[in-house]
Amino acid sequence: MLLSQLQELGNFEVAEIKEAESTWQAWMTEQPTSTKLQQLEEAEKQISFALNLLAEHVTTKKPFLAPQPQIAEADFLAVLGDKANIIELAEKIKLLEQKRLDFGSNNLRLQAAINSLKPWISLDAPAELIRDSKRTKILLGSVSELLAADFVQDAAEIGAYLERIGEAKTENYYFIIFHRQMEEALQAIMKNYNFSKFSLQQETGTVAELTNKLGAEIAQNLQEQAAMQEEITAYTASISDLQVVFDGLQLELAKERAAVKGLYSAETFVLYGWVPEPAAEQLVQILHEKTKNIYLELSDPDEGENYPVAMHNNWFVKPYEMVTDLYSTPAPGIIDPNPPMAPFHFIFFGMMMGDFCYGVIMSVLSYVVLKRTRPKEGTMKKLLTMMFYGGFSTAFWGILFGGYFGDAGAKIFGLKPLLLDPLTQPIPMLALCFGLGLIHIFTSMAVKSYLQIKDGDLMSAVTDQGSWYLIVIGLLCLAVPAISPTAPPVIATIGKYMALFGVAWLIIFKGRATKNIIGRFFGGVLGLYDITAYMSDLLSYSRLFALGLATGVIGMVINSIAMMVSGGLGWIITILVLLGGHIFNIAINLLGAFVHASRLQYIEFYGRFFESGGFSFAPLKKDTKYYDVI
Amino acid sequence: MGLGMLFAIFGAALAVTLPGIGSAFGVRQVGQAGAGVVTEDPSKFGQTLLLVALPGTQGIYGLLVGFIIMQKIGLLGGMVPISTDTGLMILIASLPVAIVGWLSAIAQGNVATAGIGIVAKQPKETGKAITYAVMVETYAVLALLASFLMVNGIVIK
Repeated sequence: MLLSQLQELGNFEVAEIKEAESTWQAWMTEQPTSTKLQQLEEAEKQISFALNLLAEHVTTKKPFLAPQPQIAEADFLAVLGDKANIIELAEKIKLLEQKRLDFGSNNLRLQAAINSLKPWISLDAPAELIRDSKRTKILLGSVSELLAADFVQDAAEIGAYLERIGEAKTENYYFIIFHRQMEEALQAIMKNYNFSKFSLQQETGTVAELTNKLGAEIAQNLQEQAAMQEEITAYTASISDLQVVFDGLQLELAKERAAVKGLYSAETFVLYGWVPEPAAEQLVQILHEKTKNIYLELSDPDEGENYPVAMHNNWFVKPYEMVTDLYSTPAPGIIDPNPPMAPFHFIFFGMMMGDFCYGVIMSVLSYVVLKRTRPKEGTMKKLLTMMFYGGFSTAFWGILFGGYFGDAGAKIFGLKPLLLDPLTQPIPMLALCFGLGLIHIFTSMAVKSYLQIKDGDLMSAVTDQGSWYLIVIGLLCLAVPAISPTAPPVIATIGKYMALFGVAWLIIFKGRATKNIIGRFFGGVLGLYDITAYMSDLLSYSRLFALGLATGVIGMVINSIAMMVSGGLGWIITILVLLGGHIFNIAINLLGAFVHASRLQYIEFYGRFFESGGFSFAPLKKDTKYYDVI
Repeated sequence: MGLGMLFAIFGAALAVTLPGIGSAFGVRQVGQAGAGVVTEDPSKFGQTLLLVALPGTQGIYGLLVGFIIMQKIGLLGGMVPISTDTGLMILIASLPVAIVGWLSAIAQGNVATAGIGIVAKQPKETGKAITYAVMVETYAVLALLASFLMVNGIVIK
């Protein structure tokens, strides 16, 4: 079938057919059968219920960091061949559980009955004897123990016979026989003392007998429940079969859900959907090979049509797609923001961790986890791969800044930082951060101008971005003599004119949308105010320093605490402090470095050019939960 | 021990104490909200934990500055004499991280608590909740940097 083939290829997203597309809608009037979809969903529900239930009965622990188990396609299909039976099994398990629960609630009810009988247990007359006669009546009931004495007295006074049967909590329980003539008087007394009546449920036998009978029933129920429990536990052997069928159902459900989006006539059907352009030719070719009875038409998306967005990136950029995924899906039509973003994330992340040993640990750990669990394409794999790369960056900056488990490297081996020591040279370190920040900001401006030029808006690119390049670089050149007095003064002069030219350009053209000449001038001057935005963006990069500092200094703190307790048996504590401390430091700074590196992308980088509002490409593919079918 | 040393230790104590209190309050608030979400859906523990951890960093920044001060005045071995002026300078230098760390941790706790709502209702958008909370953190980071630069810049004669 066509959908199976599409699912095998895994790069076609079936979409709803919109009015405009369907000129043939008039004769495509057959409704797709949704009963099959309902059946599948029903079966899926049954199996997932059974699996959840059985999971509670499994005693063996899943091995730590185990990869998704693999299954050969032949085996997979073999189990699926038995699908009907396995679904039936799931239904059976569900019924069994329901019955087990019924027994449970039944027992609760029985227990409540026993409890209510407890005060009457010493009433040794069988029920068949507790009957009203022609002249007498019998009443059972209770009254609060505070009023009991008075009640007994009053009742006895009018001639009724009372016998105390028992007591429970604050109630006293009485058996009363009285002549029918006294009924009204007794009613009044009972009302007075808030007497609550009790009637025996059974027809025959004593209360004690009944209690025993109910108790036996409970025991019987418990036994049956235990038997069912065992039966359910025995079914855990079928978990793998259930899982295979669940996966099989997932594949079918995906197809069915796609199928109902199509249009049908008696003999034909139409599907509409998206395929990534690079894969389109191949898709057409393969489908034509498979069947002759097919007509395929490829077309570009219409102007303004919101088509799904798919990223295609190389091995380095790919894990960083996750950072963008956390932010937003870019609108269709703008460029993929990941390639320009990834290297900066890589650099910033490492800078904020900044420790050679931590970097090595991160890379090794994430590599091991990646190898052991073999995660499927997705957020988890991207995150782990990013940690793996991030470890390299971390180690690299660690060498530059001299971080080896905090200051341990410097203390023990006298390792010197290759570039600078942020603790003793904060100003050069800040300069480095701002320098990297400037490159980051300039890159995002470059992307923005690229997009503007692509839209044919050269003027905006030159005014909004170009003039700022001039102003910022010009101001930097102006500052050169202040930093190094030996530099030729001509640099400052050039800088001055660059900045002035940029400012002039901005004032003249910024307000170009305004017709009024004065309004235009003020619009331009107001545009200069954006300098504050550039300043604050730039200052934001000082976090690279601060967070790197946090990693390094906390490492130092851990080392000094560990050293304070050393000596004698203290070395055990020393090792524990070192181990726990550095693990804590890595964990807390991983969080910090990741979120701050991402933040710099979201606010300072994407803020300039990113347009959100797209939705991700979700092709029909073989997506299974439990098994990896090979 | 002179007055200078007293001031310097006071500064270190402030830098550790105030942000620590703020962080504890912030983490408490987010933790409570997170626990509510986890009772409904235990699988969201990881996502909520990220938000719970965020207001905790201020306390770490405070400790960091406190430690640097302790090291500078030789409290961790080999005390150096500190003049009253220097001691006061160190005390004042600790103020940015002490005060901003304290209040920003509480503020960040508020934002992160609101973010817990995102985790509960739109678990896919957790990244946005974290980004909002990190916006507050910026100011604690800046204060840390200012305190560090000031302490670092003070020369002990």
